[in-house]
Amino acid sequence: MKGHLQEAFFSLLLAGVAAFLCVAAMDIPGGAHGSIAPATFPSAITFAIALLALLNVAASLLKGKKADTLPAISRQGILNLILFIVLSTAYIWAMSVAGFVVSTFFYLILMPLLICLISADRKGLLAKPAFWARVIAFALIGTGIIYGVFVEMLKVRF
Amino acid sequence: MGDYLEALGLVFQWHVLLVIGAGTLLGLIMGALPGLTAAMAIALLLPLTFGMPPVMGMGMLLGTLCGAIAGGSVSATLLNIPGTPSSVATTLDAFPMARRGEAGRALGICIVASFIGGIFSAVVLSLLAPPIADFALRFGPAEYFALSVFGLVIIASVSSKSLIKGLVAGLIGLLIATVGTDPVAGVQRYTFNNLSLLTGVNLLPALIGLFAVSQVLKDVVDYFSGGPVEHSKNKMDHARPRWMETLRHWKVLASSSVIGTIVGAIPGAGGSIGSFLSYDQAKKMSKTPEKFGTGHPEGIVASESSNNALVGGALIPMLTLGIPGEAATAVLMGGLMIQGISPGPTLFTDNGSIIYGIFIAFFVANIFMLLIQWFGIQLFVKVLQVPRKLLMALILMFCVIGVYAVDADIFNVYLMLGFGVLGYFLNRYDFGTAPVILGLILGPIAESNIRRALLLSGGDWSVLVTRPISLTFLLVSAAFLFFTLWQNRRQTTPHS
Repeated sequence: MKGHLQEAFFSLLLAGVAAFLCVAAMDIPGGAHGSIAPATFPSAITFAIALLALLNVAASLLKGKKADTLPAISRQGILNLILFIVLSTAYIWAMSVAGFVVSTFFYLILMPLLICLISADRKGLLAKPAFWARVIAFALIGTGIIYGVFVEMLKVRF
Repeated sequence: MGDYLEALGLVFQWHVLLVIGAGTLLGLIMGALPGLTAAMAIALLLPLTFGMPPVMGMGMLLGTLCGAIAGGSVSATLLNIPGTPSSVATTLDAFPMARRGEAGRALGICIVASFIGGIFSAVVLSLLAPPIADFALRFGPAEYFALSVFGLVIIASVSSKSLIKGLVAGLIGLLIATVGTDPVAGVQRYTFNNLSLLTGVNLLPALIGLFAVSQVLKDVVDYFSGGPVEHSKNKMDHARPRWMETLRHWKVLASSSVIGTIVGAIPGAGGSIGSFLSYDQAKKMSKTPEKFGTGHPEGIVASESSNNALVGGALIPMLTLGIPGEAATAVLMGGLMIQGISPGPTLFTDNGSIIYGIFIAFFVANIFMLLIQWFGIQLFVKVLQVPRKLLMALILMFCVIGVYAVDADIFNVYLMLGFGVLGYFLNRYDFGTAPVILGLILGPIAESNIRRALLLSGGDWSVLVTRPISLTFLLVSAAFLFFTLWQNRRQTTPHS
C-alpha cells in the first residue's frame, strides 16, 4: 500500500474510533445544571476529530501519488513492529509475574537479540561468541545498575 | 535591605552551597534520563530536606527543579526524547542539529540559553514578584479557558505541517483528558469499568509513550529494517557552551525569557505553552523562518531560555499567592509547607529573610546548573556512544521502570506502550505528538474553567468575549489560525 493510502487508512481509523466514542459519549449521565453537561465536552471533541480526520482522508487521497513523499511502511517494518510490541508486552507481563530482576535480565538479552535478528547487518552475527558475551555482559551490568538505582537507591518496590 | 543581607548569610555557607550543588546535579541527571520528570525528582529528594533549615532544603529542591528542566534538554537533543514537557519545543531544532553531527553545538546553545533564561527569571522573581502575581490574580475562569484555547492553537499551528493534522492531534489530547471521573458532576467518562482509569490518564505514561516509545518503534521499523536512519552523531570537539553564538540571538533570548517568565507566572499555563509560544514568536520574528525545525540555533535559544525562565515565573504565584503553576511547583510548595512555611502574600512580611534566601538560592542554583553542565557536557554527549541496539533496549527498560515507579500500577505501563504505538503512527503521518500532550495538560483546565465561567454567568456564553483578557486571547488565537491557514495555503501554491 502506498504512503498516501496508508495515511488515508490511518485517518479513516481515527475517524471511526472518534465516531464510536462520540456515540459512547451519549451514554454519559449528568445534566447541565446551569453550565455544560459532562457529556458535552467529549461529544464536541470526538465530533470534531471525526470531521477533521475525514477531511484529512479526502486531502490524502486528493494529494495522490504525485505528492507522495512519505515512504510506505514495508511488510518487514510491520512485522518488526508487531514482534517488538509482543516482546515488550511479554516483558511487562513477566515483570508482574517473575519479578523485576529475572524479567529484566532476560529482556536485556532478548531485545538486542531481536533487534540483531531484524537488522540488515545480522549476517553471521549470532555465530560469533564475542557477540553473545557482549549481550550477556550488557544484560548483567544493565540489570545490576538498574537494580541498584531503582530498588536500592530510589526504593521502588516491584 | 536588612532581610537581603541576612538572607545572604543564610545561603553563603559551605554546607548550604554543597547541598544546592548536589540537588542541581541530581536534577540534571534525572532530567536527562527519559521518564524521570522534574516533579518526580523533587518528590524523591523531598524526604532528605526534612531535617534541613528552610533555605537549605528549598535551595536543594530549587536546584533539583532547575537541573531537571535543563537536563530535559539533554535527552531532547541527543535522543529526540524531551525529559520534561517544557523541553518538547527543544526537540524541534536541537535534535535535527544533533542528527547532522552537531550535538555538542546544540547542547552548548542549550546551556547558555538555559542559564540566561534562568538568571533573568530570578531577577524578575526578586524584583517584580508582587505586581506580576497581582496581574495573574485578575484571571478568572473565562481567561483560563481562553488561555487554554490559545495554547492549543499555538501548538497545533507550529508542530505539524498541516493545520488539520495539528488540530486532530490536539483534540486527541483533549479527548484523553476527559477520561476518568468528571470533576464537577462526579460521573465516569470512558473508564470502561477500569479502576486505574477512574482518576484519569496519568500524564507520565502518555509523555513517555508518545515521545520515548514511539521513537524506539520508529527505529525498529525504519532503521533496523534498512530504512532511513535517524540518529545523532556527536562531535566531541565542539561540546562546550556557545556564549557568542547564543548572545548573537539576543532579541530571541530577551523575548523568550520575558515570555517564559510571564507564562510561568500564569498558574496552570505550564512549560509547554511557554516554550512553544516563544518558539513561535522567534519563528515569526526571524528573517529565516523556513530554517526552523531543521536545526536552527534560534529555535533552540527560544525554547531553552523560555523553559528555564518559566521556573522563576512559576515561583511567583506559588510564593505570593500559594498557587502552584504545575506539578513540579506543587511538589516544591509541599516542601515549603513541610518546613512550616505557608506560601502566600504574608510570607514577605513574616519571613522576609527566608523568602529572600530562597530567591538567592535560586540564583545560586542557576549558577551551579551552568557550571555542572559546562564541565559535564562531554559526559552527556557520550550517551550517544552507546550502541544503538543496546540503547533502544535500555531506553524501553527505563521507560517501563520510570512509569512503574510512579504509582506501582502495571496498567500504566501497558498504557505507555499503547501511547507509544499511537505516537509512532501520529509521527509517521505528520500529525505530531506535542499537541496531544498539550491537549492532555490543558484539557482539564479548559473544561473545568469553561464550566465554571458558565456557572458564574448563568449560562451566558458572552462571558468569553466581554472580559478584555479573555477576548484578547481568543482574538489572538483566531489570528494565529488564519495566519497558519494562509501560510499553509501559500506553501501549497505553485507560485510560492
